[in-house]
Amino acid sequence: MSFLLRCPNCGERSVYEFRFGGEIRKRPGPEDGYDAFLHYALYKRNVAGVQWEWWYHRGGCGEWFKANRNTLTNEVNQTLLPTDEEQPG
Amino acid sequence: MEQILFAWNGNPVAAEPGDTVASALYRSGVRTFTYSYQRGRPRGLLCLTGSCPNCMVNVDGVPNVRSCTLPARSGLSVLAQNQNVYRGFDSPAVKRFPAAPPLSESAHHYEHIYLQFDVVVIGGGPRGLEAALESASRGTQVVVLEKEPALGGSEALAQKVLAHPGITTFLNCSCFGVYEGNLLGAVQIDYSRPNAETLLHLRAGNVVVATGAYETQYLFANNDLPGVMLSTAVLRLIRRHGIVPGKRAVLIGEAEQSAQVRAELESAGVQVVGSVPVESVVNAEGADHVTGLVTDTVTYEADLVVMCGPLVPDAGVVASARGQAVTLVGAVGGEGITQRDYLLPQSAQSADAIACLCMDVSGQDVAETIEAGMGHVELIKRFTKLGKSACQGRMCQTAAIHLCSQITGQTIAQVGTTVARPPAPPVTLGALAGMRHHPVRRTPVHDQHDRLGAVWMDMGEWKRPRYYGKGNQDECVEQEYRAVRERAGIIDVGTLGKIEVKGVDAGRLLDLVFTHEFSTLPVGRVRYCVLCDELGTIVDDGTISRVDPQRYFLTTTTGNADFVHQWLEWWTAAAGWKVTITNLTAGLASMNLAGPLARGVLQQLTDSDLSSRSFPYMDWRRASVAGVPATMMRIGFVGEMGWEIVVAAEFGSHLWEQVLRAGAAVDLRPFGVEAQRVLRLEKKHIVVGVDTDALSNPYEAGMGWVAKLDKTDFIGKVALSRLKQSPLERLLVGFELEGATAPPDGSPILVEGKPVGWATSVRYSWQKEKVIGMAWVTPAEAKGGTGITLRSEGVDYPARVVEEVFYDPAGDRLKM
Amino acid sequence: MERQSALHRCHLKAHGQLKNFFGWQLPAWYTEPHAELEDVRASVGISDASYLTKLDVRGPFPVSLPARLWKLTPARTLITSPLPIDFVPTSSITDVTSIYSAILLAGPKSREVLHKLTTLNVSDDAMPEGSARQTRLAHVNATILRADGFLILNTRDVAEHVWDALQHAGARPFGMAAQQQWMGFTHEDA
Repeated sequence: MSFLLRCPNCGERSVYEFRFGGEIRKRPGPEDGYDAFLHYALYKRNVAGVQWEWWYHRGGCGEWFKANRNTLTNEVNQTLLPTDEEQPG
Repeated sequence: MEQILFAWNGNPVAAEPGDTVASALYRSGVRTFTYSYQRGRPRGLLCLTGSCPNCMVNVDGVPNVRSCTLPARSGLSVLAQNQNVYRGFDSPAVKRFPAAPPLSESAHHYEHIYLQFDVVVIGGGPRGLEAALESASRGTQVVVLEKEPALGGSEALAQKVLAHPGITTFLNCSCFGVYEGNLLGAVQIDYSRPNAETLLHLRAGNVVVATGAYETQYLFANNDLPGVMLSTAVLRLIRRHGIVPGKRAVLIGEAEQSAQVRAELESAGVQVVGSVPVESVVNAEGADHVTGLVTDTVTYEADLVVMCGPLVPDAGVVASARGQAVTLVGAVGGEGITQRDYLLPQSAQSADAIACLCMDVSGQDVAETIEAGMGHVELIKRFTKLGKSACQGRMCQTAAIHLCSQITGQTIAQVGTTVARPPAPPVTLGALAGMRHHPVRRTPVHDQHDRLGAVWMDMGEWKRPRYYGKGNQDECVEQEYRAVRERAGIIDVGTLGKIEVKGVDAGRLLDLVFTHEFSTLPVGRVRYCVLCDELGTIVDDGTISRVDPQRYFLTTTTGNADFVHQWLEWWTAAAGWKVTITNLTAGLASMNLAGPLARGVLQQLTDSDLSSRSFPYMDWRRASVAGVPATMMRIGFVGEMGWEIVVAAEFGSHLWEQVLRAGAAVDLRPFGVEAQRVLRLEKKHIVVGVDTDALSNPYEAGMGWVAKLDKTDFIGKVALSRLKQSPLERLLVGFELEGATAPPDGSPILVEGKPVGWATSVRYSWQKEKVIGMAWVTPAEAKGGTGITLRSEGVDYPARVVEEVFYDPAGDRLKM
Repeated sequence: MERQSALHRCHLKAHGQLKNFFGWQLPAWYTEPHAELEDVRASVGISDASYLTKLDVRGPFPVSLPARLWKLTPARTLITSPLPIDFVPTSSITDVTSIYSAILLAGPKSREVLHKLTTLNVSDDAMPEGSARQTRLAHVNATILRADGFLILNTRDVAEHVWDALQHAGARPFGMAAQQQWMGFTHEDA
């Protein structure tokens, strides 16, 4: 695994500068019930294909950002900061 | 001109300028270079291009060196070796060279370099060089990787490339793989020194493969005899080294190719006695060296059999690129290679027709494997080991594929090839490892510890003093322990994480991430904090001080500073809150001054009122200490009155010296991690990661009070709410041993011979004059007085559970 | 009170002549200042520049000279100066002077040294004068500033490790006298 990832702040870097933060999911609130919490804590969608996910530039700017990546080919289609105008659904 | 002299099995061998070790040995008359892996068959030079395993020797203690690519150099000590020897599997009847000397640490120099180029051209032959010049003429940055010591093509072409400012050339450099993201790995060998290799990490915009094609052998009985060589090898001996390879030669192969070879051999003075098509070959004759070639019509007497073999595109690196686009140029793309049938003579399936030279796999072995139902290239490879060793399929794959086609009736295309994976050619582990400069983290007080005779320990990348002094560890630790309990001691806690969290949403963030409430912590107060994950598992602990209404100062355990920082950043980013988080760890020197006489020592260094009335336990404040701005927290991990003093890193060394000077009158001692472990164990203070594991929650650790369940929400709240209602499955308890020897941390706990848990920390307590510890046990054992047994290396250590804290249960010493 | 750099041990080991520069104990030279300067001009050297004031700023900030501004991300700027900077502490300004060591890597062979230690593209095009990059160098995090060479910032705990790695990669230490000549300014209270 040696693909390149474009950090929105620093530009294209080797994937080893980053830490993978998992799929982007909505965290259930206290009012959503125990089953919703269990599902969030224990299950992942584990998509074979394109998904939105969190990445942390631990070897660079030290900021979290979102990436749209194909988990089968490691092609990264888009990256954006949480503060950017457009956010994924 | 100085003569080049090297040792071969202890005897001197002279080499000419331009000789490789192999050519020099051949010149001096050596014909048997090694004995084969399983059957001990003599092997001699075959390819002279580094594509076969036959010329491997031991050079200056390093085994498996290809002598045909190693330039001869004075002073080398070269030993013959057996091929890929696995000691203990030798048959005594089989001929062998003496066993190689054991591997030892030899002189080496491994370097890594990281480069980026628009275009990488793999292969510096004429077609590759043309491609490089064409690219460079368009203004791109180009690099050429060539595995030989010089570029190919004409002198003029090579000079043009070397002189071009837009082209960088690496000679003696093989590309071993193209990885995801067009990352290329290549190794450049410096032959002027032993074991000197540079690993190149190249990011390429475009990859041009110009690796050409290599010649492969024919499969017939005794094809592996010394004296049976590929035409490439024979021509190299003549052209590069001026060596006449033999007296009488027979050529095998197609008329067009062999005609050119014949002409060169005859110019060199070799008598060519025959030129035969491969399908007519029966076997080569000879014991240790070829004496003749038997065909279906006639037997030739010869001391040299030249195989004019088929050319195979050297496309391994293309396969390794796994679908990433590369450009093929020249013979590797099939250019100039006429397709011809690879014909298998009758004896191809005999036991003496060696298909895989590296693993001694015969044509018969391959045929039997196919007939047993394993007629697939990947199965043949795995069952016979064909293609799994040094030559990586170069000498054996063609024959195996054609045998498979012949026997199963599949076409060559249907048979296919095995999956090619990098690295090809092989890479040494040394080259991959590089110089191994592992990061070391040091606190600002590091030098002081050295001067005080610290015995160091590693905590991740950090160095910490385990204890101080030259004597026996237990004695030194006891002295440090007693200093803290009876007088005063000072420990450097600079490795622990220190994080500043500030901003309008700082309190909100801490309330979410930690289990207790911090937005209501008064300014100037400190609180113990625990961080749990969503399942309620303890991940880290530390302290949080409120510095001002929107600013907090966090401490974490040594190993978790980076994690806590990332975790806080993530929740801030996800929520869109306004918080600035700064990892101050390296920028601060921090030390813990503890003991019943600590106040007297510290008061000499500061005007700040340290009385309990003014500075109670769990207070935080700013003050000048030893003449520099500092912050102080009154906390007590070791169970004595004490202060954690924090200053900017650049003043750390100065502060430490001043504390030692101020404490000299009461014999204050520096204490290390080991003493601290004993001191805190007597207070039953946990160390996260030692006394807790990946499943521990606060309730079973006896720390249920850290979870403030009436907060609206925090990470772990739902899980902890549930856990609070559920019966505990295990508990962390204290225990005392009957004996005086401490078994190690991690020893299992047994009750009536059955394991019920394990001891997390075990130490001798000078206070109780007993061995004490903490352990996980089930609820059945948790009552004070219950008998349990620790076991280590077959020895049982009877113990009993103790409910009270071992030292100062009321905590009076902390609040003096 | 004189401040001690994270590289103090390195200076002692290399027999640096320690003097007060900007309130810090730093080596004026190790062997001889003119020879050290010539070495840098001909090849490559490293020098301790930890005395620089460094501020991490998220938001607008009025700056007085002499100071340099380095854009790290759209929201974050690093400010460096050889002199102290007065500022009112707010939640968007953090004094990180104590956190980071600074090593100046200078000389025509600087890039050869960097190529051994980082995957960052440090060519003129990719990293022009005045640019800043945060990346990995010698297996630790580093902020590299391009000015008068390359100013390499690391957290203090790994400064010695980075200094050693740079030396192994071919750079030789040069002291404050040569450093100030190289950067083109002199200091009063040497």
